Amino acid sequence: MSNQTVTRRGTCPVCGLGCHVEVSARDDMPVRIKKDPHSFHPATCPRSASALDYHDHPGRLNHPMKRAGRRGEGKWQQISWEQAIDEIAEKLGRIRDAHGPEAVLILGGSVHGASDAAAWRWCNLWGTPNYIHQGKNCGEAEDLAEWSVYGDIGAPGTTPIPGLTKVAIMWGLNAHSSWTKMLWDQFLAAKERGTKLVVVDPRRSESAEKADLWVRLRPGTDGALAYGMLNVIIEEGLYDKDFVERWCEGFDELTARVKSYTPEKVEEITWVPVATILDVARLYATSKPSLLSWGLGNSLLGKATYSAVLGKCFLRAITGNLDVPGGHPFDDMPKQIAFREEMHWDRLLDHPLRKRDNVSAHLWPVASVRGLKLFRKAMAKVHPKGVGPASYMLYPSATSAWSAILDGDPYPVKAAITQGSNGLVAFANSRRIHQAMTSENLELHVVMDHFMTPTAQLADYVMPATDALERVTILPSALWGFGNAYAATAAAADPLYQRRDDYQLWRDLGNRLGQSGYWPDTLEQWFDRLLEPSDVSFEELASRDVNWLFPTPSEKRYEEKGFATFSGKVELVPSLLEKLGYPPLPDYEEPSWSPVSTPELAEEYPLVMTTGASSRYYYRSHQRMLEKLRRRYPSPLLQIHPETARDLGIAEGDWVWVETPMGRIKEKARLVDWIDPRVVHADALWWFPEQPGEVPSLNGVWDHTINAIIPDDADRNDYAGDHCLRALLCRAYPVQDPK
Amino acid sequence: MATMITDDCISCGACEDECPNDAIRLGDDIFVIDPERCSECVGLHATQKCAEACPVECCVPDPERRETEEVLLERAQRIHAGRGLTLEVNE
Repeated sequence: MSNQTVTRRGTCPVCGLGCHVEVSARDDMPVRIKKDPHSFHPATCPRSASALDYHDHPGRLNHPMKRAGRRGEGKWQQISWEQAIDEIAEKLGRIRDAHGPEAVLILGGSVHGASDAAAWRWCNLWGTPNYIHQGKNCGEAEDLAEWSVYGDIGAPGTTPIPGLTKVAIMWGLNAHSSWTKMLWDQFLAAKERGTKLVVVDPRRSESAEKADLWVRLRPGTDGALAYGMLNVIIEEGLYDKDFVERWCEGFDELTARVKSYTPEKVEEITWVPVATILDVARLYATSKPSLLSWGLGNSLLGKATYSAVLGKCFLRAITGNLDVPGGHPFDDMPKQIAFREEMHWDRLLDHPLRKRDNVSAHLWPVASVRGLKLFRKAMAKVHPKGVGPASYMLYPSATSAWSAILDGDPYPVKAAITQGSNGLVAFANSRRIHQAMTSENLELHVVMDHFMTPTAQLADYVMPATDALERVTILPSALWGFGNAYAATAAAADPLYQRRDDYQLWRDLGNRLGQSGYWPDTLEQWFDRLLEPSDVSFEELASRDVNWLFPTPSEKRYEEKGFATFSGKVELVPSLLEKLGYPPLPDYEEPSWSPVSTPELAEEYPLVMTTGASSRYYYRSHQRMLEKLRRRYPSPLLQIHPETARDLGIAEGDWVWVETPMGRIKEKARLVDWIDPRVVHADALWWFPEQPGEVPSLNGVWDHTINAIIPDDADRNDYAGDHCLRALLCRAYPVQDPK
Repeated sequence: MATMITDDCISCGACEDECPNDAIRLGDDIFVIDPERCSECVGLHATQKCAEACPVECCVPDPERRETEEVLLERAQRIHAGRGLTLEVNE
């Protein structure tokens, strides 16, 4: 044993963003973790300050466990990794023989390194199209619209270029809290150099605080706002006439569609003043290049999503901002990394055992095997291998996943493997998810994670995952297939206890279930294979001072081969959507609960509720067990206007019941004068690790998880089957007997 | 000189927990050190606790406030009256 401290580069273990850290270790145990000052992607958020606590937290899962009592009873038996894998593989094989490979559902969420990519690869080789990962309920709707309209998506994490970008509109996004500090700092740096920052959000978010113009709209009305802006831009002739003439199809139809969306009518729908609508429309159209961001907020509006995400695409297109630096540069294809080849999507499309499409293809075909095939066809000339994040074209709706388990509709799903997802908390209608996860129809549920989440409590097997300090890492976005950039970091510590990296679960199940020969022995060896086109081994790249490669993509790539659509043009009437049976140029539609669509319900539940904004302290449903973060953000907050609160007898810091027709949960009142008095924002994704984990408590989910009182019915979802989480109705009143 | 927190602060609060003088508070967006309570840990610790805890190295000497060890010690003695602090620190 030596007492010497050694310093290594590594990856922050606390969330899935994979930021880089410098780890000081003594006797192989990390003793100090700081940002890697030499990295382009340093860990600089409050979560990273809890990295040490996360790595060796007493709540971490350290051994494989098998359920010993009823599901959720909290009784477990410690078993070996090999026994667990043998039993799981045996059950999966039986289920495949009896019900087909599609009877296996995979749930992912916030990645632990290779988890999503390794899972997709396994599913494609196995023959199930039923995987729901990062992206579903996380902005997928926006990407599908972009692919439908112009065949490419904006490069994820695009920030304004200081001195070049004229206007940056952050729409449905709070980059300050959701993205890394480094990216947010780019917005501030650009603003310093004259970029006008506009934020479209019902909340005065941290980003909106810094904006030149904050557009406060009624939650859910983004589509009407986009159409109103299009109306102004077209009526006033402010669009890019050359680009429209040369590259757009369907401009006349678009003109006709948005004609009735006059600023006056749009003010009525959105509660945004006419003058502001005119300002933002004119500002965006007359300043080039300009950025109009991707946004999660406008992708979670249920029926109102469709016009919102299409409207944003139309705005970028007719103003001539597509694939230009400082505007809306397209995502580059993975070329330095053999990502598409290694995923084996082609194998899934023609899998000999696969007889059926995913469980929601009949309802939302834009995300299905059929949809993926059609996208591939439309893109064939420009992207012969398809796009990197093709999984986004495939994810079924969670609504249908539970129907498949509970009712065998459209066919039975019998097994689920959850990796890095807390589905019970993350999707709408937690009660129904609970039913599905405890149903006898579900013959097998495996959860691999870092902590015993409420979802893991309901599993049959729980497997302990290594964190990012304990394993090799490639930049997460590269492992979702985004972009052509990657970075490699070595493991900074040996795995503690019996934790294993996620890759090993898929490798071991694959090797036992007919995929032998496909899985290199270690994650690092698989990374070597992914990196083959770059002619560098993982180890060599990770040991370089500059351990990343970021080639600059070219611009206006459409000038060479056209756009990756059926027509080769920007389709303002997207033919792909038409072929799948969607109205290709829809009207704005209200969310299924709103003062306009359900005025009677709004009498009883008068507050418009949006939920789930990010904070820097927590990544999605994670980190609630970390003491330092909890001290700064101890409980879920309901943001409410002081006058509304006063009328309801609610004071700052009170526990408040938030109620919908589905029930009620408790949050703490946070009075904010900037919110519309008719609107509230409820924190989402909360559970309390310190409360009993076994049923019925399940870490307090029924008392505190907003998704427990949000419906997931099929007819409320958006065009990709995503839930409506951000435009709802509720009422609020004080908790009389707060315990 | 007293210590200050730069714009690189990520509002994690690690420094606030460590400060022996209770000199650090969350400001508008980032944490702020009250220079009237900062003794740079003189008299209390051999190293400066906030700088040591900060994961992004944004607790740095304030060039506008250069102070001698004696001044800093006197401040620490005032804050921790009765503890008999000296420049010799035994940790």
